[in-house]
Amino acid sequence: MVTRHRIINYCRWALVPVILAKILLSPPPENASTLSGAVSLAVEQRLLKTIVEFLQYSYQYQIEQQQRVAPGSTAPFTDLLIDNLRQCIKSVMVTQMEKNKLKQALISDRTRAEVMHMIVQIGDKVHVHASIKLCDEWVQTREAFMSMLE
Amino acid sequence: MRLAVQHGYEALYTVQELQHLLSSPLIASNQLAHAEIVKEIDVAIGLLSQSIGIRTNASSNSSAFSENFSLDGGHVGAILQTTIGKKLMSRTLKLLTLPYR
Repeated sequence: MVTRHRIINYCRWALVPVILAKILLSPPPENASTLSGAVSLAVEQRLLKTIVEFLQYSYQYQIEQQQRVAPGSTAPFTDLLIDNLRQCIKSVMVTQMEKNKLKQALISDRTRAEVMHMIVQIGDKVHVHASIKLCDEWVQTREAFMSMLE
Repeated sequence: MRLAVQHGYEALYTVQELQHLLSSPLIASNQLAHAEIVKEIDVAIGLLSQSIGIRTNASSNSSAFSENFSLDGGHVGAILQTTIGKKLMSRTLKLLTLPYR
């Protein structure tokens, strides 16, 4: 039981940055008019929507956890979440060597853009409650990411 | 890679079936059977995580879970190259997200 929970805890946040980096590395599936193209596109969008649901779920949990600690204190999950969100952005940035390709990979598909937008949005809300070091790291990573999109 | 995805699906379906079984009143009232199924779910989740690239370091005695597990990024990348692999990832992530915290 303990092992299962430890594997699950590790799996979820270890997988998300890798999945995002890998998906954004290639252009969205083309030929949506053909059956295989449409299936491929639908599966990618389903995967990204699952990630969005996971992010929303984690954000709600962070809100609950943060409400349980004294004002000005940081809930352990807040630090964990902001660090993992930063990892998501970082992994995408590291794998994208060219600015234009990242921009293209994001603007070419609405679901892709939504996932990254949600990461930035949640990170912006959460980082104010996080510990100073993680807060600073988030701000730096976020700025670097946004500058890649300009 | 195809074999890993196939094993992943087998483990995924096993977990889903066992979870379904676990929710039945008959099993809930039988502690022995309940414990047995929970054990089987543990095994199936272990197999599922292996097939999607989670590597377990059995020799480590550290209490921090991050030191006991690692992710094979190349393996995840290879799985994501196929549509069926993406489907497996999506279902796995969903399975690992909602019922547990």
